[in-house]
Amino acid sequence: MPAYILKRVLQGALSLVGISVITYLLIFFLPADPARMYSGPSATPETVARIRSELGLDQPFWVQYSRYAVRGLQGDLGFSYKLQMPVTQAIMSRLPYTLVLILAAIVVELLIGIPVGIASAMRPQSLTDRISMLLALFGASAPPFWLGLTLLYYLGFKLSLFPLSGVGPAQLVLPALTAGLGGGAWYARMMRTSTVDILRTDYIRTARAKGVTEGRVIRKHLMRNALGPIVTMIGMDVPWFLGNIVLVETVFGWPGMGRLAVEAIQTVDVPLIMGTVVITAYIVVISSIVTDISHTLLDPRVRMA
Amino acid sequence: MAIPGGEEQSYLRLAWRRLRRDRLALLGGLFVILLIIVALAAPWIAPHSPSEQFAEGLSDNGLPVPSTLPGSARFLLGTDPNGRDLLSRILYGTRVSLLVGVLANGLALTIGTCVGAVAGYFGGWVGAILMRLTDILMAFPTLLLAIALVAILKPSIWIIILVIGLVYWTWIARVVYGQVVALREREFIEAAHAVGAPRRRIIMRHLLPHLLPTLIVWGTLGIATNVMLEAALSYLGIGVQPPDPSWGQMISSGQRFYRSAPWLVLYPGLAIALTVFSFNLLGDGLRDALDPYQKRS
Repeated sequence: MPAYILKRVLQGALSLVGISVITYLLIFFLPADPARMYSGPSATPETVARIRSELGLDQPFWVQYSRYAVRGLQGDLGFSYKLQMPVTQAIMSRLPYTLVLILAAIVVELLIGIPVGIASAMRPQSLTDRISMLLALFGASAPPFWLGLTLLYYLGFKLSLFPLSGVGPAQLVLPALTAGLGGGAWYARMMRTSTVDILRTDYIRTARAKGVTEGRVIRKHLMRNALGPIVTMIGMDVPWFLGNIVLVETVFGWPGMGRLAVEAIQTVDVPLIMGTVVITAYIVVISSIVTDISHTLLDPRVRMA
Repeated sequence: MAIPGGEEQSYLRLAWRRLRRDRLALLGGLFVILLIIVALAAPWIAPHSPSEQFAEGLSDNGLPVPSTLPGSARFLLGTDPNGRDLLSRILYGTRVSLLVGVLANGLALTIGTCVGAVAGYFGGWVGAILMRLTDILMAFPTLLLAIALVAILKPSIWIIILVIGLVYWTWIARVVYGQVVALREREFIEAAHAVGAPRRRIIMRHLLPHLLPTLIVWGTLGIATNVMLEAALSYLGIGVQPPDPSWGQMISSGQRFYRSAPWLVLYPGLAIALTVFSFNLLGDGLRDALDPYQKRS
């Protein structure tokens, strides 16, 4: 087990290096000139040149990149031109909002996905099963920004159940619902498939034959075995959300990291673009390692080589 | 699958028979055909030009008018903030969505199949490097990477197609790689080697036909994903630019009015959802019908 963890961590580190090199390369070929952006529109060519050499932007790619990497390992991701603050500080002020939203969305997904999936699987091909699976597929097909605005219109504006703007626990409900509805649909489909498989196994038949109540069969025999794939799905969800939550954040004006990244890209704030991408990738890589390891701990049958 | 044409046809016939029984897949397929017709015939179907600004398309205080207002029955789904007919814009928007969805997907399928097939067939360090690169690219958040690339390259419909193709191929490469690795060890490939068939011929004539079902399924599901990606990019303002009508961009420009004119968000979103939904239904059905590992009844 320690060897496996070490191997996954090394693989993850390698991915991180690859990701940062590719991002840096992309920015290196950006048509906009960071020195110009940094020095402002009224700066003389001499000032721009001085700032360029001060920032080390006149150095070859590998020199620039290795400087960035060394500082990055010390927790210094550079200085944002537009926000006039260290990139790490800018990200740390926005990241908690995104993480809270993702967490709430995952709770919504589980609350929808698990019961619907089990209910469907208990009576395959019944009307309930067909309708809920159809709704699940539709939910997964609806664009999140549309879903968000629709919920905002009906639940927020028409029925006044939730506040229309601002940041706080009450304002978290609609974004979490929006982000979780689509994913909950995938959880339901997944849960249905694995439940149908498990219900066919001998141990479920044995449990039922010896007179275990249906509720107990579900809780003790089915859930435990069906949870493995769900854990994997949560692990895959975190990266997916980090990339896509920006759509929900935009609809609700939620001040998360997705918005920060898009604003950085739109204002060509190079250090901030690098920072958001690297931090996102960092979380993605860590969550995939944690998922793999917790999967092996939960299910002794999965011991990956 | 030894005799080309013989069993292959009966395989396709079996698949078609299975697909025909799948009512949801057929429904999805019918809607896809309808979308293609709408996209091609938009100028003849649309009641108005998508760019014409009507004086009576705006209320006295300059707001978009709903279809329910007396006298505005000309605009079946109401008008947009510029006084243009929303229905005509949605009908024309089909063209953008399908064009981006299909072409970006074609690009992704081509790159993904090449990378996956080469990595899987040759294996060794070539395969290791190619798949490691694929993994690294997959660790990037797709939407953020697309946003960054579009921002660098300046948004236009062709750039969107290129970028979506470039961020989406990794998924195809993974799937194709897995299949090719499994196929490589099969007897018919070994036999082709033994009779001295060149590698190119083995890949083109023996490997690719076996990948076809997978590619058809992923091709269909991929269009759904890509239509959604285009809508998301356009919603964020870095996708298809005005005056080209795109559904995502319609929602983005309409959301300021979501309280007074909810139809500006409702109908374009419904168009996206139904399009993605029908490609997903069709793709799911095709997967069930074409799955070569499923028992043949």
